[in-house]
Amino acid sequence: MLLVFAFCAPDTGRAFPIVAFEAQTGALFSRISLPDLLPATQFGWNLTLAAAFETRDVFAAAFDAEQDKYPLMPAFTARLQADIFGFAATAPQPDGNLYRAWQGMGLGLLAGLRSPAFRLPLAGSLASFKLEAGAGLQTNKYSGTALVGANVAILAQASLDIALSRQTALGIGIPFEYTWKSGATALIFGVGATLRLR
Amino acid sequence: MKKKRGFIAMSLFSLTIGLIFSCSLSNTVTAPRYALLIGISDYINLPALAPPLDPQDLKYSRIDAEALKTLLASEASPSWTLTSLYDHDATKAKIKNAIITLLASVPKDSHATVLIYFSGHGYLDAQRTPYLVAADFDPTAVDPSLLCIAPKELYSWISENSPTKNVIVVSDSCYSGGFVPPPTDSSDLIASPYAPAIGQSASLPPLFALGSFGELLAKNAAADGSLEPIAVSAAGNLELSWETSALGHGVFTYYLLESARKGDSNGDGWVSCTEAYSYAARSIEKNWNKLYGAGYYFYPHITGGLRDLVLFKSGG
Repeated sequence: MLLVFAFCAPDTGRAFPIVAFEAQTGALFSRISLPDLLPATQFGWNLTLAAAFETRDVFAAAFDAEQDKYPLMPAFTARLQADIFGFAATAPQPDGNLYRAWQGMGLGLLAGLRSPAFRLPLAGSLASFKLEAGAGLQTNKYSGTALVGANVAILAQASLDIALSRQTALGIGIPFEYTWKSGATALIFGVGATLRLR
Repeated sequence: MKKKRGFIAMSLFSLTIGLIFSCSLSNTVTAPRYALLIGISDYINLPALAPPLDPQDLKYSRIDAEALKTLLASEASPSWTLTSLYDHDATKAKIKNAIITLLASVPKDSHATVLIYFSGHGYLDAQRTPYLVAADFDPTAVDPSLLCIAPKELYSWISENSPTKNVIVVSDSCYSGGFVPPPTDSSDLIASPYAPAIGQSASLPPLFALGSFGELLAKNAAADGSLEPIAVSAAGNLELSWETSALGHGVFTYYLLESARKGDSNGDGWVSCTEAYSYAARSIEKNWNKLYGAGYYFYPHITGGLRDLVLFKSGG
């Protein structure tokens, strides 16, 4: 891993990635579908804590650069995250069927790219996009029962971070997930607020 | 130009949110519902009173079934078509006939819900197979289980005759956990016989799945999502289920009935099987197990799977 990071950012003179801690919370929407039932949407929430590893600190580079001469190199990123989440039961369908409420916790590993810092139009703040993809393992249970399970998930995340200072950024995160659970498939996306501390 | 782009973006966003919300706004159940309610207090071959540990008649099983019938009869839109069998009428042959007749009366392609409810004695044979005890049970017979209903029998009557996949089986009897098939997509962490301990509760966190993570992953991968009957039992497969004069009912059925008024945890106007189960389980844990202690413990069980079915209209 360290060799990968050293190779990816030779111009920084660093052999080690920078580390940032990220927190995210927000709403989730899951389009879930069993073979013999109509698909339905479950509404939920999540809370994620992550350690992010990046080959360069795009915000620090932008802060250090001369006015409007920001480095154009993106950063490679990796992210180890732990999250908890919950989904409400769906509304009943006309035949009385519904999808159960469930909740869970998971670990995920994602990798991707962070854009160079740029100035937001109108606001003028420094910002950066990030796009990551990976996979995760989750434990879960049906809410109100002692029925526990486990599943794998494909994860992706798009985020826009806006720097408040060299070390701190607030932003918007849009997580995506595709998972297989109990014979059903669930396509999940969310929107949440993020906090990044370098 | 900027204003027009902004307006288009806002419109697309609003449309997306509206579509997402509208996909789940349907809250009207219209499919027909059928129920068979069986309550046996007075057994043909059992005395009204007997020495401790000897089988005898029950006090509240018929009252349980009658109370549930009254509750279901009060629900309108969609209303229930109700059939009942009580006491001496609920022999094994008549129970089988009633189930088959009920299922035959359900129109094909109607997506109807069928509820089969039993309150009465349960029986465990030497091989620890649980049974529901029919009214003509004879404890002195060479094989008493012949006039009892085994899980395989009950579910074969259902699978061979049901035109609908929306079937609910509720049993309030000793050893009734044997009528809740082990989940194929998950694990039920409540042990039988039940004893209070960390992780032995419907309120446990998903962290407890870590103990058998690999096995659960494999189960999840093998699950096919087929719609099996939803079964709810008063007790585990090795536990007694209790009735009490303090409640005037079987303990489980008392809280099942109460869940129709107090169990709508998400406020959507319906009490699903899982909501009713969860309410009854928590109530039994708090008002019976903690009060009466060892020797009287029991804990309800429910089948696994992502699918749930509406049971009651809230406020009944």
